[in-house]
Amino acid sequence: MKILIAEDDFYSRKLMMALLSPFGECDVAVNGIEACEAFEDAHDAGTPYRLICLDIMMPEMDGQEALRKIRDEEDKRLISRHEKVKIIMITALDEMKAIMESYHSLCDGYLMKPINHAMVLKQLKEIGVI
Amino acid sequence: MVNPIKILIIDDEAMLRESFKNYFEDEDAFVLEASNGAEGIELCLKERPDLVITDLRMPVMNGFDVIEQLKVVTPEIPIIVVSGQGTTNDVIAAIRLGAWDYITKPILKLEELSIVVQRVLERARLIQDNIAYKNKLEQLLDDNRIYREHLEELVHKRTEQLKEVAAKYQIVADHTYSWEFWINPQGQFVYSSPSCFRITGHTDDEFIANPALLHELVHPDDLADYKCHRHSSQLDQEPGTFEFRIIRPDGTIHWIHHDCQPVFGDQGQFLGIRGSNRDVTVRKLTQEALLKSEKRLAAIFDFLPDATWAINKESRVIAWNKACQELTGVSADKVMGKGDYCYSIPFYGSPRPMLIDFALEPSSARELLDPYLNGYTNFSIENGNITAESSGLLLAEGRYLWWKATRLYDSDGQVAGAIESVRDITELRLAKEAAIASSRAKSAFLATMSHELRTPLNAIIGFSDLIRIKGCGEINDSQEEYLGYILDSSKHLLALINDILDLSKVESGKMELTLSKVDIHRVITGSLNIIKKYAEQQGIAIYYTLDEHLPKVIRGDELKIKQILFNLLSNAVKFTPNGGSVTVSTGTVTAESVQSPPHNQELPVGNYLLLSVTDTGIGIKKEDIHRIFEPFEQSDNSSTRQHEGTGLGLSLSKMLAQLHGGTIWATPNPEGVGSVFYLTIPINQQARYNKSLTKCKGSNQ
Repeated sequence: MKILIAEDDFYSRKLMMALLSPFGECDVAVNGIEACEAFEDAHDAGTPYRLICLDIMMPEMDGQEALRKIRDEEDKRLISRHEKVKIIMITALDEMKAIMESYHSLCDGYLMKPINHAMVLKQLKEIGVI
Repeated sequence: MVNPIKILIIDDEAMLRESFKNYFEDEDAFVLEASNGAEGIELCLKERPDLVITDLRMPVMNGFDVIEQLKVVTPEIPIIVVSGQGTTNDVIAAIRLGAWDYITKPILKLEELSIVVQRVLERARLIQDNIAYKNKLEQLLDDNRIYREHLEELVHKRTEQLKEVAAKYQIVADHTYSWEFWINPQGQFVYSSPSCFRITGHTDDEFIANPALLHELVHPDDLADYKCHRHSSQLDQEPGTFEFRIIRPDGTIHWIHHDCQPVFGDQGQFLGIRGSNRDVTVRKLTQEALLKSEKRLAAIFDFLPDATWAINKESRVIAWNKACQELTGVSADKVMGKGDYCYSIPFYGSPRPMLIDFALEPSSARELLDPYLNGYTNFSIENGNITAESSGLLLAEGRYLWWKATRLYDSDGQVAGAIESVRDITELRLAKEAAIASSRAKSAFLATMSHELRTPLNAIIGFSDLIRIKGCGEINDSQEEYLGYILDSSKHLLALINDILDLSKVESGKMELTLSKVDIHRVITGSLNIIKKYAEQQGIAIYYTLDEHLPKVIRGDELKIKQILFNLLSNAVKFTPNGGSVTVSTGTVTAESVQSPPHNQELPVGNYLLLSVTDTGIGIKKEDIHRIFEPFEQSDNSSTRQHEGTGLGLSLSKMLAQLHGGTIWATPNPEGVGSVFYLTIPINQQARYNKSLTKCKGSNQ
């Protein structure tokens, strides 16, 4: 399973990698733009990501915009519904409300910081990637 | 003679009768003959001759009898008797009986007869005339009497009428409400209606007796005017009206309205002054009060710090206060009474309709104002009050004006005009904009802080957890123990950060509630399920009773209510020793019934959810009851370390409750041990628990 982690904070990024590495090969991006590029590159190479974790608050392009762009790109590429990448949004408590209201239909799950091993395991099971 | 004289001759001797007849017929008389007395009387009654000549000596009925009878039946007809010579006694007897004259037989000279006849006839005519004259006189006297009687009757009747009229006028004059009077040219009262007593306290008799009385009553301040008036009416004989004060015997001052005019006789002679005085004290006092009130209102109007003016129904300016003069530089006398939107010129430079016109005539002014309406912002109409904001030309560019206009009504509820106020809100608006900008900056700062503070913690907590669960290989017991400390401290720090951020959000007004229907029973049981785990570890029993009358849902922010509830419950468990109990109860209360508990917040009227959490813990000292809701306060500061927590929970919970329109307070447990925390949240939801449902789910012990 190819996994993309988009997170601007170095230590948080390392944590996500540490938590997700056991489930597959992890790539990292430091903002939304990099995440979108990585998403497209992977598709172009014929090895798309199975899971993307998007932190909401990132510089350059935030997680919400990246989410929308990735979904648009998938539509452009005529990717069928079940083949679409699973996206988990990484949020802080404050932002929960906004995401739940606006992006419910676009993302597959949420992880609320601080993130621990048990939460990740539970969420991966829920969205059906493990 | 026009008519021949009719002569009746009564004689038994035909020859004598014949000779009389011949003689008289020659004299153009008409002669009737009777040969005896009875026949003569009969003829006399029938023919009514002018003269009867009768013989005295006749058979059957003699001349005396004839005279006697004729004297009775025809007394007016003269009778001449014919007697023989030497029968003077006969003649005397006949004349005594009523004969008028006599002729002696033989008649030697017929002229003599003629003389007698003429004399008798003349006498008869005189008597006749006399009688006629007498009759006429009597008639005249009679007429005169009737006339006099009629006249007397008329006079009597007229007199009665006059008396009646006079009485009527007297009554009218004596009972007039106003004081009617007539003063003669000498200045004395000829008449004064009794009503003067009601007005002055002096009787009409007093005024009539003392011409100077009125003068004495006049208030000293009005005396000069009074004298001047008396002079002009009395001497110049001019009508006049004026008002003056009098001092009554009881010392009270009354206002008199005086009207008078000179009276002249038929020949134009001056008869004096006739007039009336009315007591107008009430009117005067009302006028004075009105004047005072108007002055007071004008002072109030002038005091208003907002430029304010008013117009009447004809859109003419009726008031223009001091602030208006100061703001526009236009003095009141320049605009008072003027129309044609003159009041808009100082504000806009040219006449145009304003809100005040819209307030006066909403239907027609709407069209007038329409082209100008986009010059206003925040235009609103509420209960006839129209408010709007705009930037006016009056002041330097960038000034903001706030306008408010409304209709004015008179006491009958009829539209009397409109009023408009204008306020320079530039400073206010700039301050508001600055506040908004500062608030936005604070908000942005909070959001950044929130992220920046929590991001490192995410890594700390995540990695500590990963190592502790041996995700990176084996660790020894000490390492596991110490990692536990790192985790607990980090989580505490995170909670602290979260609470501080929440608190500052509430304080800066940034905390927004996401209102929805909250199933309060579900929220309570949900929170209880989480807390039960901790409670069971410490052997603390949890009791929960649900009021079956509680509405099924209330309106609120579910997450925040959960936060409050969880805070109260975890506090209760935290401060309750092993083996104790925590009881949650619900109910509904009105705002009035929660005024008594010791808290300083006034609640709006309405129904509230009342939730109480009772513990058997360490309790709160009376003096700490309020302090515990302050940030970083616990009942006993020494116990802060002992009982973990951010120290912000209660103050945050209270703020969240207040955001909902409710509150939180605490009292010592009336059972003796521990304390009771109360939470109220307004209910504005009608749906209630179904009773059967309550029985199944309501009681959860």
